[in-house]
Amino acid sequence: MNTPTHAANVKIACDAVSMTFIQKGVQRVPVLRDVSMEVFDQEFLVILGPGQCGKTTLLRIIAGLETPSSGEIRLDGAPIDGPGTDRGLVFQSYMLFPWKTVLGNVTVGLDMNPALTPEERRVEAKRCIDLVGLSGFEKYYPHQLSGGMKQRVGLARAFSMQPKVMLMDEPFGQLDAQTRFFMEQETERIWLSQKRTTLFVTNNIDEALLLGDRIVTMEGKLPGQVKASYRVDLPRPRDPMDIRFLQLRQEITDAQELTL
Amino acid sequence: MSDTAASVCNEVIVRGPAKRRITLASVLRNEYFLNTVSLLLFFGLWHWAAASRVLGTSSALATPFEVVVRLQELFTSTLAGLTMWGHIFASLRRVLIGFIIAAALGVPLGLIMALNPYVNAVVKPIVDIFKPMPPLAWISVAILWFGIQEMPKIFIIVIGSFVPALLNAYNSVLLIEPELYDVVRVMGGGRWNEVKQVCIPASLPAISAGLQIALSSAWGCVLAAELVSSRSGLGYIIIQGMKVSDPAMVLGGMAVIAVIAWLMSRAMDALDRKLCPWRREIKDL
Amino acid sequence: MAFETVKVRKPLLLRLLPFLSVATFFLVWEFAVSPPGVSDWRIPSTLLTRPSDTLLLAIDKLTNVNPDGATLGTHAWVSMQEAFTGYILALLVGIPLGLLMGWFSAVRGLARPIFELVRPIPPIAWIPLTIFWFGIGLGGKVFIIWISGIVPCVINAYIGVGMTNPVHIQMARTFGASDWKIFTSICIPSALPMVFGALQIALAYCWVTLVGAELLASDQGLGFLITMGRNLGRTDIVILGMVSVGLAGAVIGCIIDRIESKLLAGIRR
Repeated sequence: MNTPTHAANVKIACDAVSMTFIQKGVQRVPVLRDVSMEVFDQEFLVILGPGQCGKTTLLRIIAGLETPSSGEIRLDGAPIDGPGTDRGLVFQSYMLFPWKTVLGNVTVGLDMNPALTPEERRVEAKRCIDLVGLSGFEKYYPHQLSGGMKQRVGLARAFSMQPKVMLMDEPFGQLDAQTRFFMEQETERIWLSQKRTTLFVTNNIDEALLLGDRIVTMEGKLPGQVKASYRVDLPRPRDPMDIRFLQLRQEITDAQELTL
Repeated sequence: MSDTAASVCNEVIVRGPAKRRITLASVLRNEYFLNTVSLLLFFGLWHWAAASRVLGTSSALATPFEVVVRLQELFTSTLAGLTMWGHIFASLRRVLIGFIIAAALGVPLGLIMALNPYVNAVVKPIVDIFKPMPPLAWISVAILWFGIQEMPKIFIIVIGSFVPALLNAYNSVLLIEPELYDVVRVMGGGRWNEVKQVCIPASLPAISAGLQIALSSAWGCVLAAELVSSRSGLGYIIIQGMKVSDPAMVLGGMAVIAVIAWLMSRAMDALDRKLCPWRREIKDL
Repeated sequence: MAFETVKVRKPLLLRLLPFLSVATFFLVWEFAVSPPGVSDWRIPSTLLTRPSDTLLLAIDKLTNVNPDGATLGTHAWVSMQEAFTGYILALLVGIPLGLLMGWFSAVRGLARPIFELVRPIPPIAWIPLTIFWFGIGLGGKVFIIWISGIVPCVINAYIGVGMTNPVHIQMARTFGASDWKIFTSICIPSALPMVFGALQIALAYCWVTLVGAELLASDQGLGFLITMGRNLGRTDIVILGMVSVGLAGAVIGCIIDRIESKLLAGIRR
């Protein structure tokens, strides 16, 4: 529960962010209340919370897809105003374009950058596809891929924009347990190779402990509020059977007042 | 049925597919056999009904053989100055001109309506006024306005295929998963990229389905327009057959109409596969 | 959970535009057409009739049988009779046939080839043949409307049965249910939403075809009114006929829409 505050190292700062949705045009639903937190440079931060606790909304606000009702989010000190290529988002339900091949999906963002030549786009897309281990599948359509491979495309697409920050919204929530574990290892490998600041949202405590430098937990009900922050000082790659891993797991589980 | 595997201790016994025995019941359940029986019954009944004149006069029905003979005549000799090929060409030309005009107007308008709430607020009520009016109700007005040449027929076809082309394009955009736009937005794409990268490709399958409906509606419209007033086309053939009490000519015309309708729907399927290759394995109905 | 309630409204302009649009449409129509007997720069009344004149004619035609031989009410009543007779018959034959074709391979094997032969023929193309068979009375028109209505009924019922969740069927088989029992207690309920969809599609088809059937051969009905107006050179009667057909179609469509949503609400909890 020790949060070092080196202001110079703060990558993303959320300052008293609140959000209220208007549901079906008539109901005012408070989703986030006074969320304040920081993500440090090169950090792998995991936001852990059960379903319906506003964590996805928080991520979408950071991505610039939603505007908070009040509060402010700063990236490298500059307030966020709308989406931008400095933040890459990986979606829970993949959100690949079914009408594009793997290569086409990874190139979507690059195609919107007029500064690049077609050759540069192709080389960059190829690099991202190689990075996520999909070489040889460039010509496949999404419906021909397994869930794990689809999310690899989602990762490659986000990487292609060379974002300063990666935002991952329960990216492996739809995968089976084995594929999920494998994808977690892949995520760690890629993160270690690049040390790109990552904000990872999940409802799975083991995933959080395997990947996170730090875990921020949220309240289990609306409106979403930050509950606690835990530093995970375990050597990578982590062993889920390690005694310290299990102790920390116990500590977080007890604090969440529910068995995760 | 298929392979059966039974595990005994550590031993796995795999049996091959059971041999099919041909029994009376299995023959009666065979679809190819039933299809053949069905077609034989259909043509048999038709022949019997025509030959025995159960429907009354000799001009009520022609036997399948008479229809084939009459069709051959129609293809080789001329009627109103045209062989059957000429009449087919006349009908197809009208359909294609009208269909292309309707698609070129309807699809873009539908897309724009779905994308811009102000255009939608202006155009949608007008579309809703005209939507329930059957295209064939326009025939009389079209003749009053444009006379009896090609124009009124093409007008009716445009009217008949415009609405399905427009409504399918419109609805398809409204049904797009909103998160797909987020993909473009988080990568820095603006409104134009949302339209180009998401809207248009995502609505292509539904637009193509709408055009298929529009084309079959256009085919019905051209026949109706030709029935009412024409000197050429397949509609003219069947109405002429009626006027001279020649059921073989009517039925022959209907057969050609059916074959062309079928070919057009095949062609649209092929176009659909060409336009939307990613759906090759998804769609199968 | 109880949440605060608010009312979100669309911008004023967006709420007003539809009304402005329709009002402009009718105003332009009204003022772009000359009154009867006047010839000026506007569209002559031989080509188009003003909405106000159409309305006056409609009121007059409620009681006046001239010049086409029947009042507007009679025409509408005759058209409705034809359309609904054909429609009901199409439902009665088409839906059971489609359901049976979906589940019993014997029915499918026998009915499918004939259905596929007849399906591509536009209903309008049956008109000459039906005139041979039924003359120009009610029978022929009902037959053509029946043909156009039966196609969507069969297709939707057939697809509806095909969409039955196979797990439900397997579950019933493990309970030893007979084919007929599975058909009645699993396949038919599963197909109901598709079948209700067919109710609306079939009615739209029937109404479109009705006009076609009446254009060619009839002595009463809204389609006949249109044809008669053209033969008499009375544009106002043609326009009145078109408006009546459109209006009646819209009203029937609304009613079926209501019925369908009621029925579907009953099915989906």
